[in-house]
Amino acid sequence: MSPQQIWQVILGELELTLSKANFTTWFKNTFIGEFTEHGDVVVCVPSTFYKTWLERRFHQTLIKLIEKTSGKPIRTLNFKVGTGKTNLPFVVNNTDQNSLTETQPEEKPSLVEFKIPNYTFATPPSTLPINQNTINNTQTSSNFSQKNEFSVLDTSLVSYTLNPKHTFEGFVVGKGSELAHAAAQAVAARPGEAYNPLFIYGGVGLGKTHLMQAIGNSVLAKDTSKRVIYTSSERFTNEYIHSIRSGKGKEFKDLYRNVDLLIIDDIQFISGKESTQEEFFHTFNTLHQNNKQVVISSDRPPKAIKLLESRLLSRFEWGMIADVAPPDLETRIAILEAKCKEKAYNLEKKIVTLIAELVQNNVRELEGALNKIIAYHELKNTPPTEGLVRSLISNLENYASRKILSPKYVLQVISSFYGVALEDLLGKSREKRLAYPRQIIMYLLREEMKLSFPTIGDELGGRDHTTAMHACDKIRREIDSSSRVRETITQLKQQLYAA
Amino acid sequence: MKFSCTQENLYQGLQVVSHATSKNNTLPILNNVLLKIENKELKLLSTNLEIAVNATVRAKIEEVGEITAPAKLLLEYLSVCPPGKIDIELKGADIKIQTQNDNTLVKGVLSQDFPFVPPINKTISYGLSVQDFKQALQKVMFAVSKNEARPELCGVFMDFNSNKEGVLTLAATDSYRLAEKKMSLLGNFGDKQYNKEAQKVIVPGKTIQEVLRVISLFHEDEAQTPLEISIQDSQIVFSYGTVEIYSRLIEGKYPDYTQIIPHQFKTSTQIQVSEWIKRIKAASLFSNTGVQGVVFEFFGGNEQKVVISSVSGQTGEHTSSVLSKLDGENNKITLNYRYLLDGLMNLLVEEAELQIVSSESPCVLRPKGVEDYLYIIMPIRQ
Repeated sequence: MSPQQIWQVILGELELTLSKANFTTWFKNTFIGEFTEHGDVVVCVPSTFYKTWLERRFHQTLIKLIEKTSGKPIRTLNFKVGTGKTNLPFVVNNTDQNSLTETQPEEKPSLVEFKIPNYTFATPPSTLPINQNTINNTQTSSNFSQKNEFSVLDTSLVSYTLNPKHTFEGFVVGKGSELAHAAAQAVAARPGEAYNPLFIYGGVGLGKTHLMQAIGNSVLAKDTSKRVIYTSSERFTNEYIHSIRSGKGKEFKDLYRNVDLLIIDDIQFISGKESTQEEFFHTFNTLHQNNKQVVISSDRPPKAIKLLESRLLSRFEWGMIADVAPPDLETRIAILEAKCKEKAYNLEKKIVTLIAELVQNNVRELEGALNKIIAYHELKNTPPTEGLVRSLISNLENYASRKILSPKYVLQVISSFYGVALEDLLGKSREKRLAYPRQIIMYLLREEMKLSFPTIGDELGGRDHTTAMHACDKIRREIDSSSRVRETITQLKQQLYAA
Repeated sequence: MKFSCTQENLYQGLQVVSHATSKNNTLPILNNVLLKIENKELKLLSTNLEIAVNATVRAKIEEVGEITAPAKLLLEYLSVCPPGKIDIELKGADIKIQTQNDNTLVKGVLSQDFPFVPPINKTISYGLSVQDFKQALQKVMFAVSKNEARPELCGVFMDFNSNKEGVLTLAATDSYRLAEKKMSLLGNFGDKQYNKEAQKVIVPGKTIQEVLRVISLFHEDEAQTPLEISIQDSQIVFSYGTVEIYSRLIEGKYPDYTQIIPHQFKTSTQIQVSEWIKRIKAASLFSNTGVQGVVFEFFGGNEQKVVISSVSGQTGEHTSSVLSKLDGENNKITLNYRYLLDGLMNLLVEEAELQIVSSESPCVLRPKGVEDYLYIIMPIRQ
């Protein structure tokens, strides 16, 4: 690891143990300036205030962290006041000066700067032309300066970075995730070219995060110099707010607009946050224009995200939209087998199949059930039997999904989903915006609660039982013919059974 | 912590230090002032991690201790507190302030998170007369650059002894104009011998402002004590009486500005400063908003006058002629009126000299017959 990487890892750890204020105040613009073979380390800090504070408060902690991270014993740790930028020699190239005077418009009155030999006022040092013999020196310096600008936000990457476990190899592909998997692989192979943006959606625990992180890991495995950011939309929002509050808007922009791959998880939480959406929109545009890959995930398709600005919506639909559906039985069995192998645990084929049959909803639950069985086995030291598995999993199921519904609750959920008032739903009006949700409610009451048609009619403001029958038939037909309706219904069910 | 002092002393101490508290910083404790009893003295300290200001306040000490409290709150409370004796006692993190009629409790914050002031060895220092230093700073400070792309120009360049022993050279430039002032350093004060080493540093413009502000808070009769400057480890400390101002220094190399000072002039004019300020202000109303140019035409020989004129597409035009004693040939130059006014208003004398080479090269403004100050302005290219 290079000293810079070591420092980033240490900052990542410190960020978790220190308060945000403390961390950003004292570790801003710090970096390792020197790391010798004998274990002499010099950490550069912006001023003597920082030096004194770090010497007195963090000396031991930092030594331990550096030793732990680098795996080398540390002999001395010193702090030095310095910024990477100052080592830059002022070099003026004659031709450049001439070209400067030429570009000055001669006709218009203009302010003229002093000319001092061996010093240039006209260009800030970082963009100076470089003499041959100073190239190395300057390059390291400019690296430093870049690091410095980013360091505050950069550290957040370390603590919130990719999980190396999530790779394509570890992903079990099933029918439902075939498309998403293929698209993700294509994107990882040719970031920015294949599908930009890649939008992955699907229910909880189906592997969206796994796929997205696999893209990041695979890109990094090929080229470690790529800048990859993996973040959640919630974190994006928080950082954005923080950057505005602390006047670091530019750093925020620099961070997110200078990446090669931006992965944003759970984008649906951006809905309703207007200025975050705007910021994200600009970030997205900048990246897209520069052919940088953007990968986004959500628990629902872009169209179904409420309060999403249309310009964002159209952009999400620009590249590739892939859904991840719940795995079928064979896939579930394959996933369980892969997990067993990973945990080096032998489970009878029969039991595996049984678990896969009993747990249908999502992969996370599947893994939970497996863990439970393994733990039970290890504690009681009895091999799992069919009956045991059944009872263990039925517990799980009772907990997780079989919530008891009431007609009132169903009504509430649907009315808030469609944004219509409860009274209107129960009222006389047959406007389309009311009629359709009403039909959905009738369908759900029938399917999920097994209510009789007359009862359903009564619950919805004393309607006739034939109305309810018609509604159920209609929605059932639509579910068969339209995938959109199917998705809506699945989502509504999720919401109904959500805690 | 327990002590008694007068409202006047504590208020003055807080006025000195509270300005250095940080605004808009992520660490809330930096809004606080540290009250600390050390060596039987009450010390007030505040910092924004660029600058730290430390003031010692006369007080009768009963118990040692330390605490931090919001600087603004304390300052505002003390400003309305009746003059006279104040008793202050610390209970946990609460500061009980008692005057003759008031009973106040200020919620403090424990001091363990308050930054340390970097220690600096103050035995080796330069000594200066406060009044001279104050004037010198005023004469250069306005030329400090505000463009942070060139950090080294965002400060005042201070050159101790290397020009000439016993002389401090101060300079500031924003690359369009340059002010340079020389002043003498003290050799000793009483028994104390001052540093004679040559040293060059760049002090941030904000620090200079703070130094000026603090030394202006003290009355003339205290001006006998010299101001002392110690430099160490890219840090500078200004000590004056009971106050110390710590600051970081700007790293980097200051441009060798002496090369741009012209030595041969074609035209030289004697000017009456207050008269010229009025004329230029008049002309400024009719200058173009962009470069803010005002044209100066110099006529020697029999005429001996300067014609100041400006033309603006929006507001109109203006010409005025000033009789001035002139040596050398006829000449013409266009200057940014803001820059020229800055120089004229900070000269602090009535008679000055304006020296010109040509309309393309820098011109020099200096007080008449005095060699220790000069102000150089680049002309506007027509």
